[in-house]
Amino acid sequence: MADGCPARATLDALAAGKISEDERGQLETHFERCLLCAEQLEAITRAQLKQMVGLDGSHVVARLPREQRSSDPVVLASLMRSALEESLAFASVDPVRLIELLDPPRAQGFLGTFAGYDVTEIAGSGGMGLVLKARDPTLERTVALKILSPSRAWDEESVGRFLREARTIAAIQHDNIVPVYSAGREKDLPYLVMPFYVAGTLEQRLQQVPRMGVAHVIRIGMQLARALEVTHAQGVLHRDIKPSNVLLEGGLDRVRLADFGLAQPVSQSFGAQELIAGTPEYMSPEQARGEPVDARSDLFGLGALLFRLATGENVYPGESVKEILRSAAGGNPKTLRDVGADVTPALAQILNRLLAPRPEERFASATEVVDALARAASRYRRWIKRGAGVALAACLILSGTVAALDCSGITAIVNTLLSRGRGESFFIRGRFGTYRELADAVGAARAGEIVEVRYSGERVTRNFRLGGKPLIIRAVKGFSPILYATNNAQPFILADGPLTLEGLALMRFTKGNAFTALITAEGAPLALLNCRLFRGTPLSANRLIRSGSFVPLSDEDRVFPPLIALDPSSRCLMRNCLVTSSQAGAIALRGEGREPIRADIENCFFAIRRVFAFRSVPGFRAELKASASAFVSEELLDLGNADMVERATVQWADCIFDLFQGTFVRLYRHGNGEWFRAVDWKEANTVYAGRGDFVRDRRGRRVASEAEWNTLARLSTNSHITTDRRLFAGIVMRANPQVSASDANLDGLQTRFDPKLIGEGKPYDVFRTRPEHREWQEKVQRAVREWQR
Amino acid sequence: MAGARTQPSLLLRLRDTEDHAAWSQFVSIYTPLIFAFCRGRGLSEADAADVAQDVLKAVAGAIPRFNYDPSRSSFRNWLFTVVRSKVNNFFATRARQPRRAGDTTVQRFVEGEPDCASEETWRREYQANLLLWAAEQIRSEFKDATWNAFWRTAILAEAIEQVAADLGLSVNALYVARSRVTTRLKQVIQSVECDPGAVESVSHG
Repeated sequence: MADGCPARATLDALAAGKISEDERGQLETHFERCLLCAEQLEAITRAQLKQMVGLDGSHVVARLPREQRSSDPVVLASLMRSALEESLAFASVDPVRLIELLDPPRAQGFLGTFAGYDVTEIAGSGGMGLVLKARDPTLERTVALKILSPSRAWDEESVGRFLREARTIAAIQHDNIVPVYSAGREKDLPYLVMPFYVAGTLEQRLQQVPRMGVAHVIRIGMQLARALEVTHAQGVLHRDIKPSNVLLEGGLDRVRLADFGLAQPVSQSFGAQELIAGTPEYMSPEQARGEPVDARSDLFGLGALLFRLATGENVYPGESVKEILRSAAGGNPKTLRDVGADVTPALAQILNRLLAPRPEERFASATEVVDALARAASRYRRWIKRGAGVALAACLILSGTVAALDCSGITAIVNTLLSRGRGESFFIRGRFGTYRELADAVGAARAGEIVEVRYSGERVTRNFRLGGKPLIIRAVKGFSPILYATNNAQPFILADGPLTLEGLALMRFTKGNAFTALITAEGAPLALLNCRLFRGTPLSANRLIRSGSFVPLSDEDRVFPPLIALDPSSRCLMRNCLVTSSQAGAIALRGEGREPIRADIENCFFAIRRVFAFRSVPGFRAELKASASAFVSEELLDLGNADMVERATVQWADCIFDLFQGTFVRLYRHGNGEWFRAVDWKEANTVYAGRGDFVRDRRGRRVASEAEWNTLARLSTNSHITTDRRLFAGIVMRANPQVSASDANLDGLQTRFDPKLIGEGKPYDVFRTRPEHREWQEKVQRAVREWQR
Repeated sequence: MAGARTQPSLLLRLRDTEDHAAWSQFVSIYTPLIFAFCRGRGLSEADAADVAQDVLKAVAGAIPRFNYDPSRSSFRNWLFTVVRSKVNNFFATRARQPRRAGDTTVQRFVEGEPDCASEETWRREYQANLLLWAAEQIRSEFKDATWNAFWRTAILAEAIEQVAADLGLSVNALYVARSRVTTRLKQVIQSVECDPGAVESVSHG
């Protein structure tokens, strides 16, 4: 080692990036001369690389795009060849045919030449022909070459028609139509030149994500309908609407319809199946039968495409081309019901009309379709389903990391001062500004933000909806706001986006009938943490506010809407909540969709007429889960039209049920008596205080006895039914979850229900006006007082 | 520029759930990794996206409480336990809810291996993901020749003499280039992975 060679420690520091720029320059000059030092440096580098990359970089290389995997032209050529082989296999194209088709490549990196374009790769293929990705050497842009299949018979007339229509399309410029750059014939094959859309076709996308939500279906439908509007006006029919003819320019916000008029019938004779179109899955009945078609046939194709988008399935049953053609010709499409589609009624109507078997039953023009879709869109609030930003917001909402309820930070301090000064009690966490009305704060909040509520006591609050964005609304620590809804024509909160409520009390008092729920979750998750929900009559309201106790259950047997309504594709999560009403249900689950409707309840107390109600429709599925909760109710579960329930999974753990009518399950209709097969009832460690008639029909007649119920419900060994109300009251009121040994028949039974966690943890009373419960009521009050001491 | 960076590592910053920039960066670095791993286990794109979201939710919940002790378990290992758990849950749930026949998820479940979690696969995916991300961050800091000197020898595994000849560099200069890029890469990776206190020990040999 000569003089001037740096010490080992210096080399280490250099490799750690701890050397100044100047020193680094000096060292590097030295290394250029001194191989020994350079080699020492290299040894350090190798050790570092071993840590970061491992023994070899093959796993990194594997993730690079093909053309970056080597700088060696020989290796690259071989990579491109294997790429060709793969895409040939994928496209199931006859390689011999392809070779014949292409002239030899003019430069490295290309597969061949066609009509003066340099072909890069096969982009796709279908019954019609081949699509190649190519480069226009003159204009230096990437294009798609659509070459019509040489295996079909093209006579002069059809080719002529095809080129004429291509010219017409080329003349139309529309956002939703793929422009035609040029067309021609090469080697006796007609071809089109179009822009190349990297994002691919709708079919390719459906291969990866088989279904999309209503918002996307409507958006794509509108774009395609507009495209048809314009081309129909020029007298051009498409004839072959299918997802592989819809190109995505970027995302789903801009789609373009391609390949107009290519599906030419070769022969017009009735029943001819010699259609150029490759697949009949989207054909109108008249087209499948070989009858003359008009613009409304295209509308059917649009309907079939949207059906596929919404449901993930083709509109015609059948496996082979023949079967599908037969279904098509016979006018036997599937219905939305058959496939359990999750669409809004407006969209369902549109689809049904587009898919009507007779053209005169469909929309008369594409313009009408555009209008109908626009109306459906304005009725549907879309919410963002994917995207890293919202994934994050969803994380924060549902994982409960939204921690302390206290404010921190400058904006919070400012907002607190503002709110005291102005008397405006709502603000958005992290932003300056207060709002007088919750609805205004919600309107101003952006997706994923937290609206904070800073007041106590009762305030009249306007009804509001989320407008599709995920939100959290919570009470500032130390405050107990009561939101008092007075408008009964709408749900108080329409949660058409993911919503979390924390620390709030919601109240609604009905003068007369109201037919909407307190909270409606529309296709989104709903979470209620430390909340109290009330509904009752004005008289009970006063009592409630003054005493902080429950509404007494009344003798009225009217049907009132529930406190929480869960619509298809929504679910609800409740923790430490209190739910009470003198009228009907706590939670109604309505409609059917792809996913079962879910309710997940823990450490909640329900004093209510009926806990769960199914508004069953065919295919209805639900999953109910409750743990460590107490239910004081007339009925537990109303199956509604029990025949329509496909599956109901019910799980109770560590729960207390006081069903003083004794009805576990009520059936509105139960024709064949097989309803219980659809119900999967599991419980553990629960106690029921009830008597008699476990299952009743709508007239209140008993449907199953206790013995039958035991068979149906398969009660687990550590659950118990007791009719001893004293005992029951003791369990409910006890703060200590352990049940003492003196409680006979209940050794070892524990309940985890902790009333202190409810709402703000204030103690509560339960009392009723029914005469037979008066005694019990007094006992309960005594127990409460003791507990409070 | 002195080598020391004073900004706290990404993991530290993640403990503040309000640090949106840190969380955005975290999501953009790690989502592709989680997603690719799930796809590698046979999940469809939609399901992989769902599982990735579940993982992010779990991470968002756990990191603020996460007492990261680099000597006990690396972030990579910890993240893997979360991912593996969510993927196994996915398979288990699908097993309990049989879908219609022909559903690709069912097929994949049947063909996939829900129980043998591949730690080795994860390690390589994780490394590759982080490396490619870091490479993207620093690429513009280097001249083409310097970068290629590193990339072709370290990643594409081409022979040093060959690359040196191609680029018109001496072997010494090549070593220097490799060292510079490697050092910088390591810095960037560490700013994401470790606490600055867990200092890189420059090992030799």
